[in-house]
Amino acid sequence: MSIPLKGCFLTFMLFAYSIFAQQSEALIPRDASTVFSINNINLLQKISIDELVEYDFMEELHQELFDGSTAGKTLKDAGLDFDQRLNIFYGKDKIYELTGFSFGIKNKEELFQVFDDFEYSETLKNGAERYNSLFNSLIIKGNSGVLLRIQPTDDYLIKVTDSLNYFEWEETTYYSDDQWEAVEVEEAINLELEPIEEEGGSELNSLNEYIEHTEQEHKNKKTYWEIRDSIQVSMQTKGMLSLIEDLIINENSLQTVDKRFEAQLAKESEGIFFIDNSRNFSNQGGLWYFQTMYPILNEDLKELYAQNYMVGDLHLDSNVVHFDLRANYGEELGSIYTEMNNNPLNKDFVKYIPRDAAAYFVYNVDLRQAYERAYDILLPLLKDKRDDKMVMNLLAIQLLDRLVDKDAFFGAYKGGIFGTFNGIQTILTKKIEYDWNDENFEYTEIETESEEDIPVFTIGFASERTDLCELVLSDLSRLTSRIERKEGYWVIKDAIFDAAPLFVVCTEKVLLLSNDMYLVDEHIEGYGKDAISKKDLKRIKKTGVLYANMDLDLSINQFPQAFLDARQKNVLNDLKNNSGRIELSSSYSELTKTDYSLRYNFESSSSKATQFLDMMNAMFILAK
Amino acid sequence: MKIFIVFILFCCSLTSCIEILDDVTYNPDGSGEFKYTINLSSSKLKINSILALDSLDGKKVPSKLELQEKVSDIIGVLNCQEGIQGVSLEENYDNFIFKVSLHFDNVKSLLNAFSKTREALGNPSDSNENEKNWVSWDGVTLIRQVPDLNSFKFRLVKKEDEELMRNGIYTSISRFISPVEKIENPSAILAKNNKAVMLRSSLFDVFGNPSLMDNTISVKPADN
Repeated sequence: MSIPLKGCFLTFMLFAYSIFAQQSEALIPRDASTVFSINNINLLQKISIDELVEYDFMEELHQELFDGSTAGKTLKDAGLDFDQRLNIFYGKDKIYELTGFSFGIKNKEELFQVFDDFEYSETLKNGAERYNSLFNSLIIKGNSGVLLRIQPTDDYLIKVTDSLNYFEWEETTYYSDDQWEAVEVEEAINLELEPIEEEGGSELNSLNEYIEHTEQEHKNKKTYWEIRDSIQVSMQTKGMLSLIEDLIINENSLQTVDKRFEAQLAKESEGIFFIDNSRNFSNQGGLWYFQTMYPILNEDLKELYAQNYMVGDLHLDSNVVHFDLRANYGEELGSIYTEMNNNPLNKDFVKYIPRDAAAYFVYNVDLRQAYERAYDILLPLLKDKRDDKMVMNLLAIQLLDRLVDKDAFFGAYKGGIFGTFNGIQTILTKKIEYDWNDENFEYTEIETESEEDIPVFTIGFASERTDLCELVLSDLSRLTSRIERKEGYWVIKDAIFDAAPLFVVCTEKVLLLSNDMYLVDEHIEGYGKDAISKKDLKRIKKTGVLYANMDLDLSINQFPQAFLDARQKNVLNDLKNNSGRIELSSSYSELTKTDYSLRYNFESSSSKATQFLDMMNAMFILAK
Repeated sequence: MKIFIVFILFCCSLTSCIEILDDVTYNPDGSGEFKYTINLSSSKLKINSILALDSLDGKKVPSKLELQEKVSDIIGVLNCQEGIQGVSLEENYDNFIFKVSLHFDNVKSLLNAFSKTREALGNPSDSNENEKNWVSWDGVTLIRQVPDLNSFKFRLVKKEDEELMRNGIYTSISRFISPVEKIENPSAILAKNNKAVMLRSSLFDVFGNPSLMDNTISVKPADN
């Protein structure tokens, strides 16, 4: 073989290697801020595709797959390569929302029997093939594929649409789709008849011509919704082209641009998890209190979150799904967290948690400590801002800091809280029934008792000034007979939805709110030997700011879904019909990280893979 | 934690139910009195818990004030209808019992009033003539159905709603001045005084099959 030929062959081999050594993780766009990557997808071989697409993380694929092409097929039948990872990703900025997943391909023919709605579109200049369906694009590069969906965010789309033609609908308020047309026609006629000017010829002819002309114009005019749809499609097309250019042609993937993600990919756990909170700012939960109280200031504190990201590993043992999560942050934020989170367990909390509680949590923060630290760190950051709202907010914060007795304030509300759910109890409520007279079917209303099931709960707040609550209740009880002092506690009659009483217990260190009659009758000083076991107590003491424990049988399966939002419902539905315990704990916060651990001990007839996917899906929904 | 707090707000009853009662008196001259009662007293815990929320299933939950406004709108529209007098409303927000009563000159006025009220409140009148004309009364023969509850656009999408309906009861009473001679619906019961007919069924069944409540009743012609 001549040298030039050898060179060509070598070049070809290198090219082929670069193409075929491509792994699915290299097809995750750098704009993805949340990624779940399943390493051991062998586990999922027997999962049917129909079952898989039921999960929320596969939501975008529903339209593609729910058309009969998947009936009776498993992932194995779909031509996937089980030696490659399955990566599910999500990202959102102010303009676009991106979702998709990447995977290895073993048999392209089998793959397209499942993805049968995709049609070949083009071969890109680096040899990758693009296929399109109505909503999504599928790119196949070497032996990996990525399914992408990109769409403008609702807020941005509305903003753009409104800015284009706002004067036409500025006077309209809210109309249903059906009403829109009618209103627009009426407005068009009213508005357009006025400016007619006589320019020779008969007045009537001019009028008729004008009406005909404006009617024609009206027919050609797009409605608000049509314009919005057009903008959406145009933005989707543009966004997809730019995404493909960046990810496929220029090979800028999350793996290549983010070393933290690359390090996470090297882990050997069954699944990994990556959330970049600096790009997912609205989901940042660490300073939830601050975000709620000072949303404007919070928006200006993004720089604090620059190094804020979370990584997790999902392990699967025989009957345990174990999820390790590490929240990483910068030192400034970390110094606030360490002050807020690293406190000894409030002993008065645990004595009110019964041993047989279906679910309970302890959130052991100290706002007094955190306040001082946050004040020192945040104030200089905010002082740089010049807008009037910020200056006024800042002024208010500084004045409050100087005028309010912080020891008294944070003594009354320390921030620590615990809650227990002790099951369901039946209470008697009144209802109206009818007493019929057989003679003439006249009737009278009679009051009877009706049984209602309500959850039994206790919430406790850490406070050293429960005397303030006593003071308030004592004064209010003079105004209403619904508030009554009993031996060691207060009762507020019909406080819970005009039907059930609420008990208020003011102990030296904790303010308790409960509807548990058993607590106030028998355990007003604490559950004693019926409180949580020493073993559990030891476990809680070892944890940092957060500990939660939940018996799935006793809690989740009784959870009233009517009162949850769609996201919360999805999480619960995934965990429903399973039994076992979920335990969530955190480590003590360090300057740059806090570790969280979630253990799910399941006792279920469903497969390990299903349990694994259930848990992963719950994480995905919460992280999205 | 948010989930837990929401959980605490929950007060849901498995035994909740709704009771609907329609009670119509038909006079020989075609006039009469219509009374309609919705009794939610055994669901008040659930209703109070829902009213405490901002939204449910992605829909805004109306406040008590908004509910009151909506109900008074209905009464206002009914009051303006020709052939309708003495419209009155009793609202009991402690037990969630709502009663409407009115006098009508003839059943045509009654039907017309309902149709107009629905239109005024944004529920377009049904194109189905049979459903529009759910009652006819010539002084001797009454042919009636219950108003189709589905036309009120209740949303029964959840298992809980279904349960609520199964426990609910629909009672329909027709009263006459003259004794009843013939009743066609075998489930109907005649009062001992022979001047009132009652039909009762579960709300769920009535929703599924409103014809269960169909009835034709003949009474003895009044002496002139």
